[in-house]
Amino acid sequence: MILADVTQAATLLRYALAPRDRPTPGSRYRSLLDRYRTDAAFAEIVERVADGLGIDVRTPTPLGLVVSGRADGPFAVTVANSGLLIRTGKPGLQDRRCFALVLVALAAYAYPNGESLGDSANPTVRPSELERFLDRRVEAVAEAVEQDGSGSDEQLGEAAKAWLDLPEVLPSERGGLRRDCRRDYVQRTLEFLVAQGRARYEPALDDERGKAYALNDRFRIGLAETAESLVFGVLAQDREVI
Amino acid sequence: MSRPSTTSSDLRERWQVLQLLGPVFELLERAAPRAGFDHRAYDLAQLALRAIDHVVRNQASLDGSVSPAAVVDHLTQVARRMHPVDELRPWTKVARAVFASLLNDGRPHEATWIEPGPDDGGEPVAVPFRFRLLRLVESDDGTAITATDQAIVLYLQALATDLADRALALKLMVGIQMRSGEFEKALASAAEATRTAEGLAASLRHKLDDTRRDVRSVDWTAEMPTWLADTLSRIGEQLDHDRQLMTLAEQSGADPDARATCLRITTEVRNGQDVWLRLERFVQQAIPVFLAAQQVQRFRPRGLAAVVDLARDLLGPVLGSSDPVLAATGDGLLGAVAPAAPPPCWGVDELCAVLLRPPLLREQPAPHLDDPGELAADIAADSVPADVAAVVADLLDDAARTPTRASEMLTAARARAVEVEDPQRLLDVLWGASLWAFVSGAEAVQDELPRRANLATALAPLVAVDDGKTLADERFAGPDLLVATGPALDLIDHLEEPAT
Repeated sequence: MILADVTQAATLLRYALAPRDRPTPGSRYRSLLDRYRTDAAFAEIVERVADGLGIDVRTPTPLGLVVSGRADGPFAVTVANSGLLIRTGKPGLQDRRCFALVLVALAAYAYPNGESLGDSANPTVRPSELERFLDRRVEAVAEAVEQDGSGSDEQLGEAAKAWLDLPEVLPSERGGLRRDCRRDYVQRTLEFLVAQGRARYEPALDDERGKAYALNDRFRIGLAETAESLVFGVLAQDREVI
Repeated sequence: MSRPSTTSSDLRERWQVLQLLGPVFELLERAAPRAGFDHRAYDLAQLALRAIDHVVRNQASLDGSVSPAAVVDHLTQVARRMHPVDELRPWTKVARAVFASLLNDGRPHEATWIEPGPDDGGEPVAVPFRFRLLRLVESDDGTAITATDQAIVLYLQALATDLADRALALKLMVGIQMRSGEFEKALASAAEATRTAEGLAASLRHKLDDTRRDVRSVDWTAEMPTWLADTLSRIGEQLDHDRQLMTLAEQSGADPDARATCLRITTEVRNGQDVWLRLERFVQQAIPVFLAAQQVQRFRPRGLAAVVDLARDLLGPVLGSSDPVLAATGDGLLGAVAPAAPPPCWGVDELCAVLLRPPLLREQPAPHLDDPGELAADIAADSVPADVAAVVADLLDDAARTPTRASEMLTAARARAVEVEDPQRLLDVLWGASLWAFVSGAEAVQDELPRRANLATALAPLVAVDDGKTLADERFAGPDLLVATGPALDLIDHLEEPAT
């Protein structure tokens, strides 16, 4: 093994960890990324260094190497440390619940089935439509629970109850949105993904239904790789609770 | 008797082509009447076709793609030319409505083919048909729009034919027509061949781009090797034919009557040749990507994610789950889709810089508001004792009635010393009052008066003047001030005037 390759592998990971670095033509990032694609031995070193650091290497894309932090590593991203604006105290609990709910709803709304996870077309999401989608789902579960009574297997989680208690929109005096409304949580989640380079605001697609955001390949690739484990995780934990 | 399956298959292909026009009808019948502009004044169906043309042409060009904004701009210009005198100037709105209908928010359009049941009473079968005309994808320059094969079929006004076969057939036709001297027909066929070449190039680039962006979006192990070999051989074949046609056009150009048409045929064939050459270069550049695709798919076959329904299998259970389950799912999802977060590293320098940095916002203390209660408390705590104030007020009242000198007031005060507890204080207050009347004069304001109401009332009308006499007193020194009211002093001045 050539030790210089280890340095280069770590350098590639350093670029991958900076979400705004791009492998522009002629850049060092680009040459390292091309080497990762074409040199199997080098790719192996990159993946081993990443493994030691607690990083999962997803896939190389034209916009860079997609990596994500493992839950038990120092690079782990959670709802609490992601940069989503979580308040302290009791409102913080509501923030964590609602942001997690909106994220899961966004994944289900944008990629309703497994086929769409393998389709490289980028879906667009409008805040009002995503909010309506989540509202309908929550209300459907709430109605089912109410009709079936206590004998039902189905139940409404605390997060879903909190979501139902929130008003749809709370306009602020300056024209924006105040906290503690459904639209604000949806809007903040989409803007967070834009800031993280996982979505893009598309002004050309704006219309009377509102702003349009396009989720990009990196969102889809990350979701496709983890969708199965998330589904199994939910099923397993639900069984433990039962 | 059941019909042969080939007929049914042919029917279904033609039905699929018919469904491709569905989004355009949807636009005309549903979206346009609600879009807030005079939709009858614009040919929206033509705009839809022009949008697809524009995307396909760009896709086959050197750029390889076009941005959503550029498509909207292009349609806006065409809409403006359709109805330039529209006072509301809704051209951008028109363009967006057309574009949105074709794009359908990046989701596939859906139609259902219902296969009739057999004659013996079996159940009919519903088969969904999903298709896209335009796709929103990522490119090096940002979001881009590409046309799908279905859109290219629409662009070429063709049924579901094999594009490569069609391009070759057209080129053969050009050759035959040129040899038989039908140069005008040959020119039209050459133009059609170029158009087909653009369509085919766009279709091939679309697949290459998909592979480049996500090596798992196409099935490399089964489909791609055959496809790639086929593509390269087709490109070579097309280029060979182009060269033959160019030679033929040059030979036919020797005829003076056909020279102009042959030159145009040569230009047209060269345009088509450029398309193929660009595509060949693109395929060659993409070879490292194919290598990566081979490697990745060899070690990581497509997962079970393809059979997951996120709404049913993930969102549904999460809505009924407890907080820990939701938190674990949210964290897991965010960990997968968000970039890894490098933990912040703090050195002493950074820590000092943060701790010692000047505040961005200056602290402003809250404004102090006057409290009437505080003022009342101050009055009660006045330093002049009540007995002293009463005697001084009496003496000042006397001075208001009759002008009095300070020395006279001090003598009178000493005479009434028994009335107060502190005689020295009485003299000091009286002396201070005469000095205050001298300094403030007639310009005294209410706030400057003593807080004792009786003292303030007695002192307010008084003024004092220094007429040159000196005070002879054991305790105080200075001028022997004459204390009186303003009118009284004016009267004195008036009486003294004749004497002067």
